[in-house]
Amino acid sequence: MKNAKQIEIMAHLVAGYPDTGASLRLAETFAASGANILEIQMPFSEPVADGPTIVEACHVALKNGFRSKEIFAFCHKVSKFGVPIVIMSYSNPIMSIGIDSFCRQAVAAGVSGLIVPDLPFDSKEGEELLACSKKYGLNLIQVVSPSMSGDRLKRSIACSQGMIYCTTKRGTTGGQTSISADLKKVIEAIRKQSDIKIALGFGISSRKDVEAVAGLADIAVVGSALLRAFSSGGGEDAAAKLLKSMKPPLDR
Amino acid sequence: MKKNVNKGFFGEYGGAYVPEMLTAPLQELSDAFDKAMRSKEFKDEFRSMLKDFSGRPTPLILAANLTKKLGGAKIYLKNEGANHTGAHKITHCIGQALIAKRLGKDKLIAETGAGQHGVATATVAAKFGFKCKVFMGSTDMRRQRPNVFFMERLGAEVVPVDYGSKTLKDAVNEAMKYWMNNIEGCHYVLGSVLGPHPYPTMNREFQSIVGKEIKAELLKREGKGPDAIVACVGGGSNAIGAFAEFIPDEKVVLIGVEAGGTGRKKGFNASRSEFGKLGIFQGYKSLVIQDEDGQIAPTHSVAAGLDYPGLGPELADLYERKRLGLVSATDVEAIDAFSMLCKLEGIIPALESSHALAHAMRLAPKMRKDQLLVVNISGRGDKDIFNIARALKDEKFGDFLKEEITNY
Repeated sequence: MKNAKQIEIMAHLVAGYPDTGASLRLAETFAASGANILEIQMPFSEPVADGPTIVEACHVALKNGFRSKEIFAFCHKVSKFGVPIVIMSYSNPIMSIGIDSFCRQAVAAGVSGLIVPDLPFDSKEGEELLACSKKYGLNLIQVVSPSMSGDRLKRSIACSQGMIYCTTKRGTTGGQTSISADLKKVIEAIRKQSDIKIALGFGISSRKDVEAVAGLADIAVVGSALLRAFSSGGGEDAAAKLLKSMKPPLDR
Repeated sequence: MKKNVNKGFFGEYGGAYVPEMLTAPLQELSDAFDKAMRSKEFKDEFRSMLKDFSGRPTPLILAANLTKKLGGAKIYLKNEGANHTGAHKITHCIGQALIAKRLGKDKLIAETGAGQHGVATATVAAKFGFKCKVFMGSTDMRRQRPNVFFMERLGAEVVPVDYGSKTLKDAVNEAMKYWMNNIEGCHYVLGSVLGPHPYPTMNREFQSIVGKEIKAELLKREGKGPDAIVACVGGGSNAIGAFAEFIPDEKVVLIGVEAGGTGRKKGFNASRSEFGKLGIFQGYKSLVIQDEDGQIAPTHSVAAGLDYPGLGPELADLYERKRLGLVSATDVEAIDAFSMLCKLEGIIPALESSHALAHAMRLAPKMRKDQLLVVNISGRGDKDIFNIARALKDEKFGDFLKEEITNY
């Protein structure tokens, strides 16, 4: 188990929001403000696991012309900021590029991991994605939920690479954080079966939230809160300030 | 491990492509559905509700005047509009409400496009004592205000969905999200044969009563089954309901009619057979209207129940296997068919169902007089009064609206 001093932060942004240039600058700002990993979301018209903040960001990015295949050039530029990159994408944009081609181009662009929230590991495409990610050396990060059965959790852990992404509650991104007994049980189960890093996401929006998950997880995922800080008039500075407030004081 | 992989698939289509947190509740629902299908008590209760609450069986009407005018096949209309709440939707709502009751849920949520499924859900919620929340695109709320009004009278909360195309697909997204955040106590009454397993199978099973009634009634009156069945296809619940019984009988021609909208160009219609390509969307894999980037593309139809970008997976499989034909009818053709049915047969069909009629009118003259053509009239047209009045440029109705507003 990790204590507060060691927890890493995975900062999330939507590629192309509000436009390609601004999202690139935001990635650079996050890298300079203490983010240990950057989670870059591929814009999708139907982001069914996301709350209103990220839905809006996806739609703005698409309206401003972001194209799925641009994700690789975008990530390649972000990779220069010296922080590991994980892509989060729904299934359909990946399918449209082709699973094999997507994995190959992602790795070539300097991406280290991939999260696909609507693709079960035991679906045909989920298995194909796992095979391709292994072939090219991309970490396929599985998402687990406190409502999963023990057997399903075991199988998910067995095929997750790099880290495992655990949702702090049943719900969409951007809601309230709460650490339930169910969540603690899932984390204990993962620890028992594997030494894989555990990322906790959904609703982490303050230093207090980060401290709350620090004893449990290895990585705190911060998404909607940064986006809200950025979008509500404060821009990169406000997002950077929030990110710094979550991380550095814990290092003292 | 492989056992789960094929669950809920029709050929290559279907499945359950959902965030992990929905896997357990969908499994719970699937188990409850399987159990219900084996339970005599469930089936008795379902049938009794269909008869005594919804008013089944719905009439199979010989369209004598239309038959004579078109001069071809003998046309029968399966009038699903005679159901309580005015469309076939109530059938799967009753089925799902009975399952939700067995699961101990106290709240029903639903998405709705034309509002028919929302009204049907609100109705069964009132009948069975569930709380009810219905998600509806704000564009659809504007197009189908009368249904919004009635849902609210029935005690449901109608939640506007104000992003994306603000239509049915966005309402599905929002209902799924609400369900993810409120799984305890809440059952999602998905209103068509789409979405993740078990919805396409479950709703088809409930709706298959339509085809069974068609078969029994025709046998009684004509001594044989139909030669062709035509139904409109949005997600596909009324179509699969009418078709299911006849799928094994290859002699029966099955035709689905998609929204041809305002023309044969992507973005101006909802023809998945022409513009759809294989994709994963809203929890299932099927033909989906999308751009080359895998983004879901805009659709259009005068009928709010037909402008949906994805095709129910079982229908996609039937289409691929050439067991099902898919054609389209335009907005204008649908409105013409609407007018003709009103005047010739004394039936006011929904705009969705009018698409099926429009194609039946093309098909009937090409069939022999001894052949039987069944058109599924999925709903009645009361809800479309404003849209049709506008499309027909009915000035007197316009005057009425202006006068009505002064009474507020």
